[in-house]
Amino acid sequence: MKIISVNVSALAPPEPMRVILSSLAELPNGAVLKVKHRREPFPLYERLLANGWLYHSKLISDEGFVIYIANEQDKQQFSAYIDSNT
Amino acid sequence: MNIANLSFSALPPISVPFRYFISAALFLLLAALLILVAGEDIWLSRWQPTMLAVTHLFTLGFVSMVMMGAIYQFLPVIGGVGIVNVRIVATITHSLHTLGTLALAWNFILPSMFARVIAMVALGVGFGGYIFSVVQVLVKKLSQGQTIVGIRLAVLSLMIVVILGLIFIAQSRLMPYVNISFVADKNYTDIHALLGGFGWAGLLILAVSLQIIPLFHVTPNFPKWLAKYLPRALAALLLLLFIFKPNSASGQLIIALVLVIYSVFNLTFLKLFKQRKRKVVDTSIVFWQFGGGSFFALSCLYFFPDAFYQQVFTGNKALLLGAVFSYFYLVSIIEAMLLKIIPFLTYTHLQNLCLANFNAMAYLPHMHELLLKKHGKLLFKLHAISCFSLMLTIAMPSFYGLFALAMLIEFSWLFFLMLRSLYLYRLCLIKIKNTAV
Repeated sequence: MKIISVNVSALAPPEPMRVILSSLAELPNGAVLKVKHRREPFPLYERLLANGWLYHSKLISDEGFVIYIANEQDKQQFSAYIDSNT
Repeated sequence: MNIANLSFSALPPISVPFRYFISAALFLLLAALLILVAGEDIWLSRWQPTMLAVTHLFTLGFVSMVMMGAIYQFLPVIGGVGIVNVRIVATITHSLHTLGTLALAWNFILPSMFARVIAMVALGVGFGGYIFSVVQVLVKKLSQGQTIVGIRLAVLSLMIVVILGLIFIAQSRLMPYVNISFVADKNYTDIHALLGGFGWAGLLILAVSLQIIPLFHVTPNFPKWLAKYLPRALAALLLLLFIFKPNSASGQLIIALVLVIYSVFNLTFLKLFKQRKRKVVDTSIVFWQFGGGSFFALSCLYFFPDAFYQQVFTGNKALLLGAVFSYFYLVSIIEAMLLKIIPFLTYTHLQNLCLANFNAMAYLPHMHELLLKKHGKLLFKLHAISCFSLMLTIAMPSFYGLFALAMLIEFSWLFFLMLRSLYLYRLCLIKIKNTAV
C-alpha cells in the first residue's frame, strides 16, 4: 500500500486534527495515512470509525504514537499491511 | 487493528461543558452583587455569614462548576473513556448543583430550615450523582496513568470535602441522633477548606496540567518524578491533617510542606513555559505566570509574622491568604484554561463534522476568531485590576465597592466571550449543515 506520512507531534491543538483532515481529504485510493502524534487522539478514533475509516495505533516510544489510517473499503489490504509492518 | 479493544464514548455535546462554564461566570456576577450590597462589615472576618455566602458562591459556583464541566470533556480526550449517559447526568447534576449552591448562600445570609434542607439535599444528590458517574470511569484501566491517578486523588478529596460540608449543613438536625459534636471544632472547617483548595482544586489543576501544558503550549513534558510523586505526596499530607489538626504545631508544619510541594509544581510549569521552542505571545500563559507568581507570594506571606498582618491587614491573615489563593491563583489558572478551552472546544466540535464532509473544511473559521487575542488580553487586564482592588479592600474594607465593580466588569466580559464563541459556533454550524444538504 502507498504510505503518506505526516508528523503532527510538534503542533498545538487544533493543528494536528487540521493536518489529519486535510491529508485524509487528499488521500489517494488504496493508500494509508501514517500519522506521528505525541499522544493518542482518542476522540478522533471514534469519528474515524463513524465515517468509514479504519485505524491502528502503536506506541513507538515514551514520546509518541504512530497512527495508521485507511479507508474502510481497503480493509483486507490494510489488515495485511498492519500485520506485516507492526 | 485495535478497534475492538476500545470502548470509548463520544466527546460530550458542546452544551455539557458550556452550561457549567456559563453558570460559573454568572455565579461570580452574583457574588459581586452580594459584595456590593453587603457593605464593608463582611471584610472583618472570614466567618462573617455573608462572607461565607460569597466564599461558597465562589468555590461551589465558580471553581467547582468550571472543574466539573471540564472533567466531562477531559476524560474522553485523555483517558479515552467518557461518562455514560453524559447528557442526562450533566442535566441532573448541574441543576442540583446550581440549586444547592443558591440555597446554601441564601441560608448563610438569611438562615432558614427550608433553605438548609434544599441545600443539603440538592448538593448531596447533585455531588453524589456526579462523583458516582466520574468514579465509574476512573476505576477503569485508563491511559495517561499519572494524570488519571491525580484526578482520582482530586475526586477523593472532593468526596471528603462534600461529606464534611454536608455534615456542617446538617449538624443541628443530626445532633440529637448522631454524635457529630466534633464538627464544632474549627479545625474541621479548616480541613474542609484546605482539602477543597489544595486537594480538589489544587490536585486537579496539577493532574490536568501534566497533559494540557505540554499539549496546548508545546512545552517539554513535566519531569516524570514530579508527575508520579507530587500528587501522592500532596494527598497524603492533606489527609494527615485529620490526625495532626491544622491549628497544632505539627498541622502548621504539614500546611507549610503542602505550600512548598505545591510551589515545586508552580515553579516547574513556569520553567516549562520558558523552555518553549516557539515563544509566541499568549495571554493564557500570562495568566499562568501571574498565577504561579501569586502562589510564590502566597507561600512567602504564610511565613510572615503576625505583626505584619496586624499592621497592614487588621490581623486578617486567614482572609488574606485565602483571597490570594482563591482569587490571585485559582481564578488566574481557571481563566488561563478557559482562554484555551473555549475556542478549542467550539472549534473541535465543528472540525469533527468535517470528517463526514471534507468540503465543510472551507467554512471552518480560524480558531483565534472564536476568541480574539485582544479580547483575551483585555480579560487579563480586568483580572489584574480586580486583584489589585481585592488587596486594597482587605487592607481597607471601605474600598469594597471598587472590588465589586471590578469583579462585575471582569466576569461580564468573560460571560460575553463565552456567548460570542457559542454564537460563532452556531453560525458556522448552520453553514456546514447547509453544505451537507
